Amino acid sequence: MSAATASPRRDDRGSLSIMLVVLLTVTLGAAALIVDGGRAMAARRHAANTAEAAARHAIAAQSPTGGFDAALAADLARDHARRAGVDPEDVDVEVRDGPTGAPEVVVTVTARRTTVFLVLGGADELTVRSTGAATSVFAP
Amino acid sequence: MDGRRRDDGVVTPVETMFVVVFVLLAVAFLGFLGRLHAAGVQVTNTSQSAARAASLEGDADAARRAALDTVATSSLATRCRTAPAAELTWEPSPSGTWQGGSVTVTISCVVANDDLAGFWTPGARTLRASDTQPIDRYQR
Repeated sequence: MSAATASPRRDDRGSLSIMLVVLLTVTLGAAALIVDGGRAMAARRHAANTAEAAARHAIAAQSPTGGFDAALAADLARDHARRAGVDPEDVDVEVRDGPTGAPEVVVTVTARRTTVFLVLGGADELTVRSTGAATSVFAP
Repeated sequence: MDGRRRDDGVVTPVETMFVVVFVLLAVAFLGFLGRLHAAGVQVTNTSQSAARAASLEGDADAARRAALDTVATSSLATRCRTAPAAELTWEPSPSGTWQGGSVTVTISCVVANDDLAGFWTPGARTLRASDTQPIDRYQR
């Protein structure tokens, strides 16, 4: 056995490559966090904004004299979401009595975004969900 | 002694330089992505504010003025290379009126790449965002 192979000291050849792989992984991970995380945050914000606006649009359908039509409110909420570029199938509308007994419209919007970096890890789509609600200020 | 040189702890100046350059490029790349995301959020926020301001007006002309005022006084004025462009479209209510319809504001902002990178980089990119808000039914 030669002195080189018998030595307990570790050979560092190739350690630079390992370091670069680690650095590349960390960089790609950070990029995924920024880009795909950013896309998820933007999608959530858009979903929340659309849900709130759709709920507001739906609740505005009522009037003090005409009363509140739950079916019309749900249609209006979906219609607003469509105008905002959301697929109607990604919109859930619930009309219920609010805490004061006045009608409350709750809209849940699901948003989907393709990923840029996370696709490397097998996740090709991000799905986020957000809810917005609006309550009438008077009971019908 | 077999005459082979040990590499323990040996990193050549070229390798060190390579790692330093890699780290600097990675930091610059991540900084660019972060600033790009922040600029996108800024454009989205402004489009939402402009659409909300427009939705509170009594007619389309006043809404357009309100949207433009909102964009002009926003932080986008300093972020974009040229004045940000705002386009307003609206859909009438089922009865054909402004009240009860919806208004969409689309904002375009040209951002120079060197503003995002923090050092000289050629080119620019256009960021776009739009937001749709229900028009207040009882606004006059």
